[in-house]
Amino acid sequence: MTKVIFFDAGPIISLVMSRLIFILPELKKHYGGKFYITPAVKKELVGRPLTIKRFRFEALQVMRLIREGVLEVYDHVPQDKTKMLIDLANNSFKINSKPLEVMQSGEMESVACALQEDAATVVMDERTLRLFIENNKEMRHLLEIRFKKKVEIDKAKVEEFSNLLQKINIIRSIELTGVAYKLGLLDPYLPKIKGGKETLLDAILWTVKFNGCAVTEHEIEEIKTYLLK
Amino acid sequence: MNEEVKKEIIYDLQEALKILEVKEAHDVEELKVLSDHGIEDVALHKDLDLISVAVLIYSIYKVFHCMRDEEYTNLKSELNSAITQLKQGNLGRYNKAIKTSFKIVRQCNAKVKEHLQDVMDAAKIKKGTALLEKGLSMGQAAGLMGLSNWDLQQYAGKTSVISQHNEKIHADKRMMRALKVFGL
Repeated sequence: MTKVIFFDAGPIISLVMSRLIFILPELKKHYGGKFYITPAVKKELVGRPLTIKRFRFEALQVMRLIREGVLEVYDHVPQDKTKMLIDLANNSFKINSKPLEVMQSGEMESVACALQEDAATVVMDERTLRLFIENNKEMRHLLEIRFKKKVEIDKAKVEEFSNLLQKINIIRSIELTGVAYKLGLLDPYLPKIKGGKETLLDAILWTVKFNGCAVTEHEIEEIKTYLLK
Repeated sequence: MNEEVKKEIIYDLQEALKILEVKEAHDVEELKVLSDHGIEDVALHKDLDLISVAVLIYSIYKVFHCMRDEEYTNLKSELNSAITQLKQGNLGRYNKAIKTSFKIVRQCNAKVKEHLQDVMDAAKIKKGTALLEKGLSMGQAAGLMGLSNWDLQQYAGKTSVISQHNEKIHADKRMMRALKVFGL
């Protein structure tokens, strides 16, 4: 059975903007399986930025990855499952009895496809969906703090959502960068100075964060410590 | 337009008009606070008219300091007209008044280009980031503001809005998982 990983748009955007997208073909070779994106993700990565002068070259970089087969477009999106998941997510929290639609259906596609393919891993930088899957209590807490209003939670829906997605293993672009570091893909950038490895790690982890990966400063320190061990 | 949204828009426009009634130094800050209030309504109602008013108020805040007296007077008159028309249910005329208000802001925009970006685009990015802060996803926030994820992610990554939360899975554990996925 072929191993597959599904990618959301966010991590690819983070890697392209961080000028680290070159690690993806090498990571795929090492992985030995398929890297999939859904049609909605392709639209966000290619179709949309091609129409924006500022991001046209970024779109071309992603197009090249698709043309060379590093990223493959997964055409069998389970629409029913995607709809079911998005309905659950967008009806789980209410403010003033009004459902809070926190997500778009396109964002749910990768997860729904991963479930369909029995794929364990989804690469996602998006904080909201990740919190929803891994830590729905924090999600409610976040909404209450930010809206300064009482958030009603539909426990049955939240639990159903979490149960359906509990097998999904989420990693982010920052972890992919960590893997690339461990594989030595970033060694050409290793400065010949005291603490060179730490400098390199700091540089790559922070650039990914600054380009949109939802990661806290504390987490960066933890990742750095772990990788330097 | 549903009644709740209509009420919110009328409130926001009336407040904006109150602030603009007499030109004072603290108006700028008040406009910013008002536009932040507007964004909560956007997050709750996901309504295009509300989005447009939130972006308009933020754009006024950005160009306020270089508005000429004539532009200032015209803007107040258009906002007033928008309120009246909306109250009377004349949506066509309401839309026209909002469109003209944007046109006035756009004229001033020529004088205050923000990093080569249109003030309106900048306002959408800023308000999109505020939606992210409220807990909406990247796609949802970008979609509501009519932005690409690239625009929003590029900006939001440089702020703290997407990194002020508690993760359940420790970073070293997630890193370990990732290494395992790649057989390391």
